[in-house]
Parts: sequence; structure tokens; C-alpha cells
Amino acid sequence: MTRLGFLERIPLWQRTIPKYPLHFKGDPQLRVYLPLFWMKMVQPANKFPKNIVLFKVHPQMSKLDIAQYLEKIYETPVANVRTEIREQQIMAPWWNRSKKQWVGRKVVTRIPEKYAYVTLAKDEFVYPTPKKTEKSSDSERYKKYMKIREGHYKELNEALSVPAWFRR
Amino acid sequence: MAALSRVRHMKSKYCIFQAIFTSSKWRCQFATEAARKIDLPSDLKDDAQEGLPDDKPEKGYPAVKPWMPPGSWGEMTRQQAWFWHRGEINHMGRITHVKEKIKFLTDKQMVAWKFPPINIQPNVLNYQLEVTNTILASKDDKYLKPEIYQNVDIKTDYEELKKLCIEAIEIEHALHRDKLKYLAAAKDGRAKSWHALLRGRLLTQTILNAIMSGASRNHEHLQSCSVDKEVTVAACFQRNGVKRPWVPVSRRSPDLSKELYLQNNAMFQGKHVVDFQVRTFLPLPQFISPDHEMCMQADKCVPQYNPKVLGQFRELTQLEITSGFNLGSPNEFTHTSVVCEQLGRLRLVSGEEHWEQSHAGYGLVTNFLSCVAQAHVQGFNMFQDLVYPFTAQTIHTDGRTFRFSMFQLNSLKLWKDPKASPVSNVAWISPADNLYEGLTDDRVIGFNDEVFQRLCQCLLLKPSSRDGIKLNPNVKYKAGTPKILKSVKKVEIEEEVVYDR
Repeated sequence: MTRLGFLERIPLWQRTIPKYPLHFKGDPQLRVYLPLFWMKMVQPANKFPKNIVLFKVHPQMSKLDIAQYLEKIYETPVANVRTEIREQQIMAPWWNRSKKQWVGRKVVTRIPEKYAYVTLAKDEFVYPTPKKTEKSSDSERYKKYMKIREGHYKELNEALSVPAWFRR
Repeated sequence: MAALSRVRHMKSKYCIFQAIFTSSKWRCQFATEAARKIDLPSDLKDDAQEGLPDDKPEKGYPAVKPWMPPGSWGEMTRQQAWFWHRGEINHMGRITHVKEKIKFLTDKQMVAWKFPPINIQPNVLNYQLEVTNTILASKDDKYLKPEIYQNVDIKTDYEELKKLCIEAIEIEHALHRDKLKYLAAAKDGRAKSWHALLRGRLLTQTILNAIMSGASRNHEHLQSCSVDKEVTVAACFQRNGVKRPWVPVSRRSPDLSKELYLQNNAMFQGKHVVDFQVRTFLPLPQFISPDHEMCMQADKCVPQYNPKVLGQFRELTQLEITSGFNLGSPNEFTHTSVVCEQLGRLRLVSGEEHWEQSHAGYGLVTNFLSCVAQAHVQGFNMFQDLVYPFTAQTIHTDGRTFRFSMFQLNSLKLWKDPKASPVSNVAWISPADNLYEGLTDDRVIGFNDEVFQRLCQCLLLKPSSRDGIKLNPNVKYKAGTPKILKSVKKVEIEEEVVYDR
């Protein structure tokens, strides 16, 4: 067992941030530290105005943290921040029985996710839509798949030096 | 044996009957007699039918229900259109009392979007204009007020009213000299907002009292009007362009079909408290003709974004419609609403641009809710549309800074899409301006005549009835008549006593 113990199972971006001490005027300068804050831009499901951007953020980030994150690191002035917590329902793992809940016929556990609606003061941003690639027809895809499969079998047979009689 | 004989007897009778009925001669006779009773079309009638009387009504199939009900319905489906049509004729058409009409609309809990006048989210004015289906009558950022205000006569009493107003401001400041610094600093937002609000209310009250009492001599509507403080105004409406919240199948009513739950209109509920409300017996005159091109631009007011994206909330609430007075009061029409909240803290935190939008939207939504509530009191609702436009005006002030906003409501059918109902509402919003700059040695300096003229025009605008149109055609009850109290009391001397000294 390592020093962190069971915490190593949880990924770094999901770990809770410990409470840091309050700073009062006159106290010595706190050391610079790198909190585990992160922000991820997300494509919105509904139509958004051009000056509003949707982010998925660390659950412990406050509105001020989100505004300062953008203003200081990315130098984008922020007019307003609104946060929302959505619960993502997933199948409950067998080792986490305390957080199970029956929803209909399923056993689910709820993971809270925090979303931030950031209103930009001056800039505008529209989430880019990826270009749709043209899908090949079914027959062409089948031929591709068969070629790849043949290639795999060839490699396997040569690696195992299978006699020709038994090769596929 | 007896039973068998009876059966044989029955059988024989049946056989005889069968033989008679099936014979061709009997059938022809029967057929002609039957045909005489049916009114056949003329091309199928026999010669024997000529002797029949012609005054019998022709029998035909029952009337076929049309695909869509009468009227324009835009992109609505058949079931949705018939649902609204039935609501208008079967339900609302049979209710004749205002209280029952309002109870029918509000006697339920619904998930509704909150639509308060005070909205601190950024860029909220466009959203409020879209939801209220309103066109803002402004040109190149210049304030254009309705032309009807030019006909208001203020010249006769102007000097007297100005004197009264200045006196009222000076007295009010002299009485509360210690707290002057809070009012002066209110613009910077350093003052406590609640303290500035209280001071603003007192100052506004004295100014309104001075003007209304001074002008009531020559203006009848001010003699019989009602003025109330802290009046709750609430209204609910359905707006096209916003999807309804998803209702699970297990919670749906079995009487309503799936299409009615998937309509493209959602319920909005607005409620707030007006600091002062002036009500009169007759409505304000219309500011603009309903046939004007500005009133037919509903296609420019379609909501573009989901309200949740713009920071709005929805909740399960009891629907409410109140216009601020008890039903049966003689003064049913709102003449002027006065609100004193200045949103000083928002100005300090978010800046001028954000404050300007929220401040302008405050007056707009106050007017809109006032008009909708007034319309419901007169028997109009989302099923029974308006017959004449409703108008309202709001003065947004803290005693020193004034902003005037006017509104004309042309249609209550906001749930229809622009193709079905191109009618839109119109609003006028003025920029905020100071009535006076300040006080030195207890004297007002920098008195702004323009702002005072607009204030007088608002209060002295004479209400009038609509030409030949009944004000409440859907309702069968009468309100009381207003009473004008005579201020001069007659003193009758019955007996004069003379004392001996």
C-alpha cells in the first residue's frame, strides 16, 4: 500500500482539494501553490448567445475562482458567472454500496458535476462544430475490414510459424 | 304432446309468414310503401312520389367537423388548435364573472418561468422585449415619447406646480438634514440601498402629493382617483417560442393528449410590489393606433434562447393574477405606477451598461404586468383577446433621478406564433435624468424644467373611454361609481346664543 492508499484509485482531477487557510491583512504572504482546479469547455446542447460560454469545472470552484481563472490565466474579462450542479447517473460499482440507489430497475450512483455559464464582457465565442466526414458505403467498409483481418491473421501465422495446411 | 303441437303450430305459422314475405309480389308492394316514407332525391323518385308534399325537410348527413377551427393557427396541430378554441367558447365563453374567470385560469399549480421586473442578469433587456412581444420605439438612442403627451395642458398650472414641487423638496430635506449625505452618495452606491430606498420613497411621496393636490382643481380625474402604497401586482401568461418542461407520462392527465404537453409555449409568472399606484375610473387613452406598422412586428420578437441559458429560473408555483385592488372598486384602471428601487448595488458591482439594461427593463416589465392584470379584471384573457389596447405608464424615481416608461398592450394571445398573430406591443423608455442637481443653503439648484414637464404630463394625462367600445364586453357586472368628496362643508346656524355681560 502506498502513502496515499485508497486515494490512488481516484484520478487527480477528481480528488477533493483540502481547505486552505484564510488570509488576513498583515499576515505573511502564503506560498504560491497549484490547486487542482480545472476548466473544460463543453459544447452546449441548446442555442447560446455569442457572449456566453459553457464550461465544466472542478466541483469545488466558486464563481470568483472561475472568473479569476479566466481573467488571470487567459486574460479574458468576465462579466458574470453562473454555476449549476448536475448529477450524472451511472451504474453503481459493486464496491461502493453505500451510494447506491434504485431508479426503476437499475441501481445507480449519482456523481455531481459542476457547470459554469460564463458571460464574457467584451469577447464573443461560438463553439466550433466539427466537419462531418463522408461515410463510405457498406460494401467498401466491409472490404476494408476484411483486408485488415487478413493482415492480422498473416502476422499471427508468421509469428507462430503455423504450417500452410492450418493457415486461414 | 301439447308442447309439440304448439311448436308445429308455430312452425307452420312461420312457414306461411316466410312464404308470404319472400314472394316477389309482396316484396314489391312493401318496397314501394317503404320508399314512399323516405324522401329520395328527385332523380331516384318514382312517379308515385309526385303526390307527396314538398314542405318536408330533406334529410342528409350531419355536418362534418372542419380540420381546423375558425381563425389563424399558424404551425399548431389540429388537436392543439381545437383545445384552445374549445377553451374560448365552451369554458371562458360561459363564465360571465371576473372572479370566476380569474379562478379558472389560476386555480392550479404549474411549472412556470419566473418573470420578475428586477432582473440582474446581463443583457436582459432583449430577453424581456422578446418575452413580452414588444417593440421598443426608440430611434438612434433618442427618446421619443408618444405624441399624445403634446396635447396635455400644463401651461395654466405650470408655475404654481413648479413652486409647490420646489417647496416640497426643500421642506423634505430640511426635515431630514442629517441623512442628506446618504441621498447625495446614493449614486455612488456607497449608501445602504435600503436606506436610500426609504429616503427616495418619502421624497417621491411629497413631490407627488404636491403636484396632484395642486393640479386637481383643473383636472377631474385627480379628484376621484385612488392612490395606494406598496401594491402587489401579479400576472401570468403563456408565450410562444419557449418549450414546455418535460412531464413524465406517469404524471400526465389522461384527459389531455400528448400533443398538448409538447406545445411550443410555456407559462410565465411575474409578481412584484409597486411603491405607489394611481388608479382612475376610465382607462388611459391609446398611445398609438393598433393598425400602425409598429404594432404588427411580432416576427421580430420571437424568443431566440431558452430562458435557462440567460440565467432565468422556473419553479412549481400557484398561478396568480392581481391588479392591486379589490374587485368591485370603482377605480379599475391603473393610471400611473411609481417605483423607487434604483439598483444602486448593481451599478457599483457590474457597471453602467449592465445597470442601464436592468433599470430600463424594470419599467418595461412593470408596465407589462400592470396592463395584463388590468385586462384580466376587465374580462380579457389568453382565450378572449383584447378589443381595445391597454396602456400604462411608470415613473421610476428616487426623488431626484427620474425615468419615464410607457407601454401599450395590443394583444393577449402571446401563445400564438407570428404567422397566426402578427400583433406586437409597443414600449417607450426614456433615459434617466435628474430633476435637480442638489441643494445649497436649503435651496434647490439646477432645477430641470424638461424633466418636470414630463412628470406633469404623465400625471395630468386625462383618461378617456374608447369611442363606442364597451370596456368589458365579456363580463356582466357593474363596478361602483367614483365619489368626489367636497372639501367645503356647509355650516348651518340653527341658533345663535348671545351672552349678557
